[in-house]
Amino acid sequence: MVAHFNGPGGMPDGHAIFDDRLALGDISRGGLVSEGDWFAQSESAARTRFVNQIVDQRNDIIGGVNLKRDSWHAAGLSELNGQSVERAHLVYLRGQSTTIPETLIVKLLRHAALLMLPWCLLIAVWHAVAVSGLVNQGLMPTPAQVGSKLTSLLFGDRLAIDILRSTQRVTLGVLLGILLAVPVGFLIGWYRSARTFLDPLINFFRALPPIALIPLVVVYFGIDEPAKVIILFYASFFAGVIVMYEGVAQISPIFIKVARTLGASDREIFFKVIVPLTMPHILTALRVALGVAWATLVASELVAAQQGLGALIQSAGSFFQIDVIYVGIVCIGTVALSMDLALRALTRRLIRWQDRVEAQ
Amino acid sequence: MSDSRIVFDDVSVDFETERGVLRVVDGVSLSIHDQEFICIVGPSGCGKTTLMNIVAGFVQPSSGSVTLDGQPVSGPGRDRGVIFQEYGVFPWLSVRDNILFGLRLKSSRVPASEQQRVCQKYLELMGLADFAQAFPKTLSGGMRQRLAIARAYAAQPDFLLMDEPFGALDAQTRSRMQTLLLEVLEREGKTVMMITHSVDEAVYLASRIVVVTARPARIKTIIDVPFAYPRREGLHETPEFGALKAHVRDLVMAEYEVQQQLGSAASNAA
Repeated sequence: MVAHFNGPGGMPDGHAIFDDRLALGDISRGGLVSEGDWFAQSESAARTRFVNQIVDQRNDIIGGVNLKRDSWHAAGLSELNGQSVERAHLVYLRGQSTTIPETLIVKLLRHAALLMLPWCLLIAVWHAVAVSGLVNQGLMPTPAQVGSKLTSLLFGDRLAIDILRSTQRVTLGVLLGILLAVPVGFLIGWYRSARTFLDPLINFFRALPPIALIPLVVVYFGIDEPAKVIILFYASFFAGVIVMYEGVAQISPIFIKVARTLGASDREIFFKVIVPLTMPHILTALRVALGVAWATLVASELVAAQQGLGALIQSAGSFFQIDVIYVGIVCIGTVALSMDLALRALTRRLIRWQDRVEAQ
Repeated sequence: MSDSRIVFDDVSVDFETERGVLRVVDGVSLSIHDQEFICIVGPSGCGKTTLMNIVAGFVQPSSGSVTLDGQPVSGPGRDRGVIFQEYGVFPWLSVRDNILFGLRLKSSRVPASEQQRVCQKYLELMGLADFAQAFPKTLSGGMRQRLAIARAYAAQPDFLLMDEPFGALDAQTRSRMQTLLLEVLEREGKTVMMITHSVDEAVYLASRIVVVTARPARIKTIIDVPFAYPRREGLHETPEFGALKAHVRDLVMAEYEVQQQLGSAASNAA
């Protein structure tokens, strides 16, 4: 039986072959019949035979694959190699697509190795530079020294609170910023005329580094908690609003036209078409704002903060505790990365439908 | 005529452009009867899509009127199912939810208890039942177009308006889609208006072919297609089919030449 599940993507591309029981073109591209054969069969009777043959082959393929799954079910198997039958069925389908079958474990191991590789390289280079003598050893601690400092600080009474404070400020600043950026970005993206007027204004403020506003913020809001959150809010809002309105401006009008012809009211179009189409842009805005907010954190904590990772770095700087500066940097990076990963996981869940360009 | 369902009465459309007013449709009068399959053919850029957009409710005629069962068109509505060249399948909904979209709207004619059944019916009719849970990103062009047709049908429209629905498909898929459309129409009749630039498609599908002129679109001639339904692909090989196709093609090609000159005149002016 000929069963090509071509394409690298496993199951979704497996569909391509059943794709169209009517689309001969697709099936012939699927490898069952060459295009030459197709054009050779120009006579009507031959064509009918050909069509039947294709349909038979397709049924064979589907039948064969489903038989496998059905026989698993019939055998009362609910699991296969620790996977559900449905999952194993997908793996079975996937197995058809590659010439060398690859177990899931090998795949996971390779993935993990690739994930670790750049980190190991980074630490190795850092270590090499620190011990090479190129830089004064007093000015550059080794990764191991920073690691032990990190552990001792974590069990001390300061670092945990610093991480907590900074995370709180970033979260609050980003949430407030995005809360405003979503409706504003949406309106600017949606109404072209609003964009003409507001685009220069937004770009004017976006170009201002938040750090330049700190003296003003101190004048108007003092040096307490609100001052720091306002700086982060400012940074998040302008980062988020641009992403939002660029995204919303790109929403294709075809979906709204289709919804109207299906009888949707304005309200239904908003909630059933525009909201789902806007969701990816909100999540992207959130991610971009988080990145910018962490970058602005140290600046915002310059405003006489007693606690926070930025304050930690600042005070370590004044006391020449280089290893503590490194600890602060590592902590900011780690927390920011964790938040980004969490947001990405959320994005994947919420917008499974999106077509993403993924290089294999 | 008493069974006229879509009536164009001396319809003209002007568009405002940077270089002044551009007449796109000029004095079109046409009656489309119940259960008719009208194909509008003409050179690209001549304004035939505008004709469909008026019926769909996206464009207002500058003068004249278009009526549906005697009522003037006011905006898009669920009585007219529209199928666009770019499909417009909702990427955030599964195949099943795409079909259910129209059924679940407040204006739906299908009661909640019937929705799943109606959806299943069109999933099967369009050969999509195996992919009900799939997202459109995993579908091919032919399947997306079948989904668009299933979705339009499920909303139970009185009229089907199609703008180059198979234009983006490869030749083999296109030919299968045409036959599938004929089969579906045999089961549940609809009054159909299709815009196409494929003469072959028009002769194969239509009961009447409206040939329109280069811009502004006027009706050049209306041709009755004498082949009885149900039609099957073998029709393509009959000499009558070839003769009619050649006749329509000559008419369209003449307009195509005019439209080309219009195009080059416009670019010279710019």
